Amino acid sequence: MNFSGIAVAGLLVAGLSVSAQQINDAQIAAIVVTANQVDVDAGELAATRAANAEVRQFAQRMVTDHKAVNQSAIELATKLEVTPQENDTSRALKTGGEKNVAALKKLSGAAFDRAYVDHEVVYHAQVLEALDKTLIPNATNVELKALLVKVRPAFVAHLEHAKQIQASLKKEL
Amino acid sequence: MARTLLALGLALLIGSAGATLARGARKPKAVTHTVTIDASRFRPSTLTLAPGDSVVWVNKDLIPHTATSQQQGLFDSGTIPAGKSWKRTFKDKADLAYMCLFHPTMKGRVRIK
Repeated sequence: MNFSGIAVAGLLVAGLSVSAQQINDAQIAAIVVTANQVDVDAGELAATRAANAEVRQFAQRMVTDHKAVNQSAIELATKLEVTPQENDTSRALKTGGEKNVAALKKLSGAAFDRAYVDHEVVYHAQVLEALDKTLIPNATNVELKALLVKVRPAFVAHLEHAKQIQASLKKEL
Repeated sequence: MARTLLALGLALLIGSAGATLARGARKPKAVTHTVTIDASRFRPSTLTLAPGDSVVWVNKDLIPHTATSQQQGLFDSGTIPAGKSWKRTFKDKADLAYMCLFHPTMKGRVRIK
């Protein structure tokens, strides 16, 4: 794990611990939308900048999948007339995402690839933890809870895929 | 008269049995099986079918997936967008492991026997 990965993980955990107790559906919606958007932003950068073709393909997959999940989340929020409400966790995610992209922009080649993939591993692990400990247990609307349960396996698949790429990049060192 | 009726009855019985046998010997009708893709899983993950049967993969997930044979070139759905499906007929006996190219942790198997 690189430094930016640790920093982002710290931010995410800090945000989650603050709001875990009193989180509502509008706040959960904001967290879901932000969590997906920050990975779309990082993916869009990596899809063009990564040196390794497998990393570029993975990045493009993150853009496609997280955009699709966000579209479903926004459609559901609109249907339920829930306006996503910013909160400590969504703000921490946004700040973490911006810092990650800024840090990545300073890198290139294999260093960029490793930093991006390391961050993806941390990010997906943290979002899974948030889904399991905070978002799914606290979602009160049945459809919102069902959406979170439905997307969870995609985050698991992304995490495992990122770990596989992380391992293959280490072998190239 | 009774003998004639008996002979007729026997002939009918034999004829009927023959027809049943002929129907039974006919090739079974090809079946279309469904694999549902949902929550980043293939369900059922293993499917057994007869030669000539088809499988339709229905993507009920929110994100695109593929159904692609692990052994290169045997079959590949290409992108199956969310809400769409892809159908393939399997003519020969085989045991085919497949995966989603986009999410390599998603695995399935089609057994044709």
